[in-house]
Amino acid sequence: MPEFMARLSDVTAAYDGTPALSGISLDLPDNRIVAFCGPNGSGKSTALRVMRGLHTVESGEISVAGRALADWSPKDLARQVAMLSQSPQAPSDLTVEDLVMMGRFAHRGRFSGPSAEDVAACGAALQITEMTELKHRSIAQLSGGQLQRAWVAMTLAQNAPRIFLDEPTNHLDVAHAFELLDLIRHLSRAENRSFVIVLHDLNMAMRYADHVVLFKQGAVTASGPTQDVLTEDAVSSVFGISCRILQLDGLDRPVIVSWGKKRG
Amino acid sequence: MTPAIPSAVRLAPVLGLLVLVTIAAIGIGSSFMPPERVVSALIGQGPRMDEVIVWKLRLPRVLLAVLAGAALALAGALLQRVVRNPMASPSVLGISDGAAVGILLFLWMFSDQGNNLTVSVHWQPLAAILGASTFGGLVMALALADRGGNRSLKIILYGIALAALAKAVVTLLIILGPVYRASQALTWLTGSVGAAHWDDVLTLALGLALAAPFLASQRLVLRQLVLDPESAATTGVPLERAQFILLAAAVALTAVATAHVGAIGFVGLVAPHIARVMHGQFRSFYLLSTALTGSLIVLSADLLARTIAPPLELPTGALTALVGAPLFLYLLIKGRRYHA
Repeated sequence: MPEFMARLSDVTAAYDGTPALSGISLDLPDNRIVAFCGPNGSGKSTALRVMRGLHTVESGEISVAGRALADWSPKDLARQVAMLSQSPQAPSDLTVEDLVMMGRFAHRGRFSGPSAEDVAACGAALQITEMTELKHRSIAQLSGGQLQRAWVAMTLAQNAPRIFLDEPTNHLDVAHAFELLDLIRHLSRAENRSFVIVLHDLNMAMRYADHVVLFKQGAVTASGPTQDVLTEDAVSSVFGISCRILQLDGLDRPVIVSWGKKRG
Repeated sequence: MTPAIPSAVRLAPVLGLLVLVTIAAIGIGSSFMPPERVVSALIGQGPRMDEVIVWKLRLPRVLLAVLAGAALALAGALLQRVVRNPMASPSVLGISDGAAVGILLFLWMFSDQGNNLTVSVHWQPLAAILGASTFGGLVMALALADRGGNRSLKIILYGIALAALAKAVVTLLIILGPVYRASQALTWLTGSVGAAHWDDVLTLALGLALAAPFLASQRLVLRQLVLDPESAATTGVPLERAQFILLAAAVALTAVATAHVGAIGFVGLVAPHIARVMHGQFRSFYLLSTALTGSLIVLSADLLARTIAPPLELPTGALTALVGAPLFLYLLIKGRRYHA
């Protein structure tokens, strides 16, 4: 078991010449829930994409699960790292069941039908996301929240020990967002799975993350244990907002309260 | 969509229809032969005369239509998945017309005054493949160089532009090329299975026989390509390699079919759609269903082409649209109501 789920050293990336990451270095611990936080366009999604090999870096080294990214074959990497991107797309006539089975691609035999293991993994993923009863629906017939859960089920069916999620709480109401994060915590604690999650809601990050990375303008301003990183000073300087971090009775983690743009 | 019906059973209607039309197409001609005589001739139980008519004259043409239809339909299904656009097909992307350009250049360069080829006609499919790959490759290169925007729409637009260019080149080659080749060249504009020989049938059958195990091995990759490229990649699809080899397969299938029957259009576009509505695009045997539908369209079109105005024979390619378009429209309208 490698000590780090991913290591980035001096990674630079750009989109059509516009810089997105300017020489970031990161060590992400294994068996933890890591949250990427930061303002829009600060490079957190790009960092996730380069870590999964979806975007080619201009310079720098990346290793994932103890091996340089370039040394992984597509299927082997898929067995190690699953990822749900920000706006995944599938044809509207695809059923939930068929979508989830697509998560099994890296495990399936080339000529045979789904194995018992494939069927079991899909069944478990549907169950844990509460999509079992909707499995025969086409994805066009789902609500926004159900659709998001269907994609999460597909990502889980891949059975990878490391999972990257780019804003997975998008389209989810508060209750379903908490449910998803509870599920992530359960998978992390019970099955030792590692997560990297891009999260906009700082309170969600405060509550669920073991480790937080703060991004600002393509650079990493802080990386470490959640409560060491999410401080009043750090949050107000990275987001440019006025905020207080308060400890409430009965909660093991503090909450972040903000009341607008920082003045002066 | 009722998942209870096994995929193999869903193939039954189109397979049954294909068998019926095949028997009818063998029976109908300058001398009519009723179905029972066709069948007994096919299984070697008929009179000598019937067997000569069936095996020597009519069967090659019927089989060529069946095989060419299957190849073009498969090429269309591959392209629609690779490009992620239901508008993609060999003719829309300029691959069919590219093959026609290759064939015409081949005829121009390698025939003498006596209208004979100076090299073996077996090189013709290679010329078609070169023409088809050149135009298919150009479309992809242009779309790749054009950064930003909707990639799959870009491929269609560049394809339409290059298909028009290839058509213009074909027309110019026919007019400016050697006169004695002009009438032969004309058939490649619209496509025809009229000049079928067992040689053609065997080459095309060989091409499809090579394609079949390859397509079977790519069946999961093809299904995965309906996802957006990033999702497909994160599930483990070697995206660029898969797109390249599937594109190459589509070019090869188009070229081999076009080399023998000309640029028959519309099949590659509609057959995958018809198969999708009738069979379901995520069921197993979707590709087989597409191939059978393509066979049925080209075979029916050829049957019409030689029976509408005898003794005149119309070009098959002109009639694939006549057969396919109404069916396509019917399914689109029916599908719209179904989804509403």
